[in-house]
Amino acid sequence: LGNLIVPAQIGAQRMAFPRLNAVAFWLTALALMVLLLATFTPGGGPISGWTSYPPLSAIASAGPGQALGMDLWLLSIGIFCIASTLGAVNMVTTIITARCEGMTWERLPLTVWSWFTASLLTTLVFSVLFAAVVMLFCDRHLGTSFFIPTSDLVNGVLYNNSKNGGDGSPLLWLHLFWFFGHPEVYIAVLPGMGITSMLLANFSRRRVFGYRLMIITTLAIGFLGLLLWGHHMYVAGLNPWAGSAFAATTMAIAIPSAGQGAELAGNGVAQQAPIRYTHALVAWLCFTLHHRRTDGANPGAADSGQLSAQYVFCGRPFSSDYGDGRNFQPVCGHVLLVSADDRAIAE
Amino acid sequence: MLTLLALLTSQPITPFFWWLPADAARHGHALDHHLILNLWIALALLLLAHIILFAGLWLRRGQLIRNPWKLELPVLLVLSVLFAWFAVRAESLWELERYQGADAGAMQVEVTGVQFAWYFRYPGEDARFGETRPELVEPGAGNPLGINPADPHGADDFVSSVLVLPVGREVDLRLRALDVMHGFFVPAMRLKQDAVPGMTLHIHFTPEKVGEYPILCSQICGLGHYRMQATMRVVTPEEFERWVRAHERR
Repeated sequence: LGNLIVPAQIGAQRMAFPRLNAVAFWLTALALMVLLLATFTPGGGPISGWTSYPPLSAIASAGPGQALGMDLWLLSIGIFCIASTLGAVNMVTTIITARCEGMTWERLPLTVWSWFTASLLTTLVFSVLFAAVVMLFCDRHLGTSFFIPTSDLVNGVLYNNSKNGGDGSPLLWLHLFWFFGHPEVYIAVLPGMGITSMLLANFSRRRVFGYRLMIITTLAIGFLGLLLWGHHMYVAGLNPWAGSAFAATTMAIAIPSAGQGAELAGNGVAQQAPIRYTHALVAWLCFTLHHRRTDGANPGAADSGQLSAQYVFCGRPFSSDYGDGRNFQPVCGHVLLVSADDRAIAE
Repeated sequence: MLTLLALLTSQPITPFFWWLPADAARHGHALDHHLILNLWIALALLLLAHIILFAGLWLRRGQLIRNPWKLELPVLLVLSVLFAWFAVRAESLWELERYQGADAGAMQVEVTGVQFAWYFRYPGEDARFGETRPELVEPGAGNPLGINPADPHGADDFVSSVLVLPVGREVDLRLRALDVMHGFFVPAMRLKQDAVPGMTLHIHFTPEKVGEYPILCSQICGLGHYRMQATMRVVTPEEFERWVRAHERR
């Protein structure tokens, strides 16, 4: 969606690297194919879930599907990491270099700001995930032990890595995975926020309420989003002080999140938007409130709750606002309308 | 709606499955209180936000707010103070549970997770655990944890599949995992801690009510993850003595 709309919104002819754009797109399709293929292997698809904690994901005999199925899963995620990084680099480059005359940073539509922030996060965290996937692959096939402790006993078979001098820790995977896994929530949600605020402004025929504040909170959410991966690991065996630190950053991100919520409410209230668009606000309020709940006194709540928030929110703006008998195409139409309107405002 | 449902969990009578299980640990009450307070505040904020939203949509026709900072800053200041207060409150509970270890007189039990069972090892009369070695693990021969027979401390260790604890005495659990990560989760004791291969992690608590409580695995660990359950039986000190005498190896 970003690749389709961003050039139009910044007055560019096309993305900065059109071929790279195509490569990233088709690699994503390939990653999906490989992922689906994993379910058709002997033993079936991998069973270690989307977090794939080792040693369950590192040792083929730990369960059915942990042999070829797990390898294909890793391959698929690896391809997806490359595709996402390429796409994000293209997006950042396009936004920096391909803006039309007069499209200054302070005139960019908020959708562009949110895709810009999400793309910066993507380049940072998908490269870490890619490294983790490669390391896990090495543990599985090249005899390394980044994530497998010495003398791990799985299904009656002893994995003695001590002769290679390796005493790995599953916690290393948790850190690397959640350093990706948490910002991923914001990569998914920030564009939705940008689209929501632009739509509200557009259909109430007013300027975006708190435009500059919205940019600041978007960037603040992106930055803080990088600092709270540990709230998925409160009970994983970290130093309890680390738990406190991550609880503090988790509470801190609630402040710009609440700020965005208030700005959207401002869009809705001060600008008297049509009431049906306020549905999206409800979803954002859920997201903000949810964040307040993942604090330190409630260890373990984070994992499951985080997922649901992501689904609730991503689903909402598209399904309840545009899902009323219309298909995906009009959504693009709406956003393009926003861009035209916004340029009129900018001019 | 979910918030409303969760609020009902403050009731001690729990005929519905989504309510919190009755708390049976000494530290649990403060945690529950914090959680319920959290939900009340969240509900109040949600209602307040919607009252403002709908009031603005239906009632107000007139001047626009030009300066967003005027609207934003007071809201954010109030929320920041609220969040900070709540974070400090939460961390004080976390500190009590996690910053300090168990009391020196706490009872020691070792919990080992293995696909797909929990084993509980008691140190016996010498109050010291014997050495374990993964290469000695042989469940079929009655040594599921690989206790080294050469170590005298291990001679009186005994292993149970039920975690039996005396009521009112602090327990220091040492958590281990032989194969993959497992999650030691006792909802009634408000306890959750992962068991990580290669690490020994401690968690301490005091059971306060006699009864039987489910122990679950909260970290996906393979095909049998769903059935990796055990029972915690909290009994009177006298009954605990009887149970230990019946199981002790000499």
